[in-house]
Amino acid sequence: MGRSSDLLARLLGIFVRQPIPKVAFIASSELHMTIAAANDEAHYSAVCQGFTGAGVAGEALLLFADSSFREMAEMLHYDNLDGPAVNIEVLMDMSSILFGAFLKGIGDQMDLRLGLSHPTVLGQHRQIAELLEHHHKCQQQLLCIEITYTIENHNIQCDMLVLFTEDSLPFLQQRLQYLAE
Amino acid sequence: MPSSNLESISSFHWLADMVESVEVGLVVLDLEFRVQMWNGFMEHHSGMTASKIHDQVLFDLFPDIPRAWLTSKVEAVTLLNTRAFTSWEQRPYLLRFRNTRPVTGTEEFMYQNLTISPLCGPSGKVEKVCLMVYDVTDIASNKRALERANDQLAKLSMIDRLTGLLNRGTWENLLDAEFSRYRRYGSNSTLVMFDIDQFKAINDRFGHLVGDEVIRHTAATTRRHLRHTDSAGRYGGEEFGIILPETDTEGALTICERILSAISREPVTVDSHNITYTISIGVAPLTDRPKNYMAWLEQADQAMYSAKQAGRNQIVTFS
Repeated sequence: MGRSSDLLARLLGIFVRQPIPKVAFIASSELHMTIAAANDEAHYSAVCQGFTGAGVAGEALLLFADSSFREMAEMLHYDNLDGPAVNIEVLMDMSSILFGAFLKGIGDQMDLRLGLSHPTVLGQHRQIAELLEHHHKCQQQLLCIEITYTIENHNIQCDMLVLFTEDSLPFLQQRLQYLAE
Repeated sequence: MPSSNLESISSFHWLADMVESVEVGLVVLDLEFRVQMWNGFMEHHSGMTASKIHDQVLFDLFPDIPRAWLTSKVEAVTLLNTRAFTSWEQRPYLLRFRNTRPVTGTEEFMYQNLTISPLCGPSGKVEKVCLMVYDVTDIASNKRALERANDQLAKLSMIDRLTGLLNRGTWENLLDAEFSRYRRYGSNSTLVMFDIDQFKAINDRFGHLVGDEVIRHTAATTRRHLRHTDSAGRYGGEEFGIILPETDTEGALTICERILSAISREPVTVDSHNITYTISIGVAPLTDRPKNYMAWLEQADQAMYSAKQAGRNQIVTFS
């Protein structure tokens, strides 16, 4: 779990603070309520990436506070810090690093290879409730892992959610049993 | 030769065939950016053959590729041993491939998504990277067309088609916002309502098309006399409203007099008819009395009806 923050820290040469992840079963219609930052008035941008492999499937979601973009772009050493393309660049880079590391970590531990789809930008500069609007109709039970990253001495915060589909649960349980034995 | 060896050679052949013919650009680079593989898709679109580009540094052959950008992405991929993704929204393309479809291609070049994937050697260390170039021109042009259509729809839904002024819904929202702003900050604001005098008579005598032309003329004249911050809307058939922010009664009267005299002086010429007409104007400077924007509107309306009763072609201020 700490692997993705470790990688981020190594790549950027900074200290990444990460509280204990929250794990919960939720209905997908309740998604926006479970997210800690959802009550926040601030605006966020979100990027989503699907993963599948060996019976396990789901989607990872990264919520990035709009106020954090500029500092993050500076930290990633971009030449150009202005314009709308920079925000998408930050979202893509952060999702590549955080999702990639997290899913690779899980894959290694459980001995599965996960395929990753191309990330899609879900929306920019909206409130979280609005970003997650289209989840309202679906009643699927999801396994949700939420991790909030903050970067020491910088005004940067982002929220990562990894959501496993209902169908993935038996496979995950089976793998966990192997691990426990 | 043992049969298993033959089998593996043949499977190598069809694997290579598949990689060659897949409609995705596949490039393998070593860590010095020398090209190790360049599949059919890349050959076709770039016009550069695999044998010509083999072992050449990618940036030497394609100087347009953003070197620092790609280098930092590849470094992150090799350091972290994870895939990296870039989208056409951040950078439309890695290599500029021109549009190859004369009928269905509407864009100048191919929009591309890019995936950079680490390739490990037998030791488990990342030794090469694979670039996968996806053609997403259709997605990109559809998305851009949708955005353009949405912008246009948003604009259309705010505007009255006949006059080009704001429509009633949009204008009332602005009026509500102006009312709330006054409640909070309390600077001057004045509302003007006006109506074309005896419009029914014009319609009955000359017909609806001429009536429409008169309405259009009123809107155009009004617009000419307003400042950039004023908001004019068509409230009903021949009734109009103007919000004048940061304007006291005196300022509002100056503007209204100009509109009133311009309209009574300039006849509208439609189909060789010269039509002279007038308007009646009600002015309501905002005070603490109205409880909501509708009450404010009511005041301006009352003033306008007083102007009509007093003989039309004049301005009355609510008091």
